[in-house]
Amino acid sequence: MINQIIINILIDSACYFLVAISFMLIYRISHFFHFAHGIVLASGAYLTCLFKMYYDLPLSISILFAIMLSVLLGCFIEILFYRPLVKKKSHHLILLLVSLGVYIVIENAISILWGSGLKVIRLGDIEEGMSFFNASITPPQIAMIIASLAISSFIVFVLQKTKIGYMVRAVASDRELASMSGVNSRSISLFAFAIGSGIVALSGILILLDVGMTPHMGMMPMIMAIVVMVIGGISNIAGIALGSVLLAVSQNIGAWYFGVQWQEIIAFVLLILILIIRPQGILGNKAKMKL
Amino acid sequence: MEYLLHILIMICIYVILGQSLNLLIGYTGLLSIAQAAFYGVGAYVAAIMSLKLGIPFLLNLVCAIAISSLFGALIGIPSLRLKGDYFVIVTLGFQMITFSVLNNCVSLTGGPMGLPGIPQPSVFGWVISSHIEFLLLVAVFAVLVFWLCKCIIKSPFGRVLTAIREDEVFALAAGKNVAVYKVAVFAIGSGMAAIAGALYAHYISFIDPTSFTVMESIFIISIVIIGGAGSLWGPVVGAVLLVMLPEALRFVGMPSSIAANMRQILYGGLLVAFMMWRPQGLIGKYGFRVEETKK
Repeated sequence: MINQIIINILIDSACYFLVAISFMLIYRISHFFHFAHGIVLASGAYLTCLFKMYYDLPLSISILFAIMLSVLLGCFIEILFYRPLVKKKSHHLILLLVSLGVYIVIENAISILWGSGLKVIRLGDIEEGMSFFNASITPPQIAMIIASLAISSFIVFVLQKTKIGYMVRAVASDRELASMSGVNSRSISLFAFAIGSGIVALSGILILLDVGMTPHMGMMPMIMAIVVMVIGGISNIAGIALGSVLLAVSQNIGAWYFGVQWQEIIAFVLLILILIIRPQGILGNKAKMKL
Repeated sequence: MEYLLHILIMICIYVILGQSLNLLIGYTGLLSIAQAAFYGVGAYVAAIMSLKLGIPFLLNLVCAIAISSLFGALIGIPSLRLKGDYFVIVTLGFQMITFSVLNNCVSLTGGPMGLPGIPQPSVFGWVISSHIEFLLLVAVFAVLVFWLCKCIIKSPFGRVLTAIREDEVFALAAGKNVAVYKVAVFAIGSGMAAIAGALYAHYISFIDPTSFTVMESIFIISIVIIGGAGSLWGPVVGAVLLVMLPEALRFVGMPSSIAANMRQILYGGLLVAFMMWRPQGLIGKYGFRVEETKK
């Protein structure tokens, strides 16, 4: 039993990490909560299904195309909605409300096109999960853990060692100063949206392969990503990793003791506690917390 | 005719909700995604008290307002330490906690099955049984809430709220106890939302948690913002528009299977459109102007 809980914690924290790291990347560059992130997650899943079921493409090609189109969707949202508002120097709450509105419109569009029920991709016969130290785990779940490790290393590498990562850190730190130093802040912003959308689309696809998809599937992971960001702190990737693990641990242990229905409440109680006790997050840096 | 009366009753209920949130967003500048939670708390308190304890309508209305105001004050407290985005997240967290509690405490709230069979309200012996009578009741409360908001806004209390919206640091420097005002306005706003909740519970006579979700909160935000934040008639305009427009779609031949989705697309789209081009809404006065002093 305890092994299963540990495996579940690993899977949950991997999923939270993927959504949270992509959200944090976008938040650090653009300084508002990009709620439409959740719908990019759902679009990754639905586009994969579209390519696989209707066009009969092999799964890997479908996933590739779905991620590419979701990246385009994320960039499209940034260019069409956020950029003009940022240019007008709009209040960040206006941007938040716009992203909420965009989320609602696209979620309902998906619902109209594909129905609001749960859909799955049938890859083969239904089989039991593989046994691993007396606990069961399925291939999509393993893929999620591997993906989160791979992507976290990739992001750390890009941010620390590459020129474009350097520019991303510059824009996240002080946009105007970066502009004056010759960094094209708008392109970097678009780049952040692209990478973030790609990662979250991938996580949406992994969720699809694990449990299935509904139009509303993006809302919860996105809110959990915000919880992770608050718990762990937005200053660095280690904070996000810690936040994901902490959230997964408290939810799973809480589910064991109190029952699965209380999992969400545990997350939000944790959120409010951290916001009251240590608003910058556990590994967060108070100076970097731009409000 | 019954259909028209139903629309008018829902408009009145949403006017009350819009006015309650307008005090928060339009006059104090606090964006809260938790209004549906207070709406739900009011509805459930009224429903539980009249269903399980047989308490008359006016008394359980008072209790609903009291309990909801208490929760509202609780939410007001984190607002003192957190600004802007992070506070919105706290309200979101509270909204989700409330929904989770309503959905999972099956013994108290009926969980996902809800509470059916809420009795008709009776005011001083007069049992409200027809739609016309209910419209009268709801309209009286809508007018009462409107008048209450007007009194609040025109009073010194209201002027301090506007000062907090415009420049909180300046209000503090002028000696106003901003903390107390914020907690108070939250209590008032949630109390008013509870009125709408109690009325809704007795009108539909069945409530379940799905009426009080994040989407409902966003709908109430849309009413305030599209109608116009910061003006007394703004929520009225917003409620009329956002309740009637989807109904108008029915007559244009929209298949009813996608009616719920189209309704959401409508107010989501209007929210985006207004935020991009006219953040103060149709007749509002507050459009989230960027504070010049902050970076």
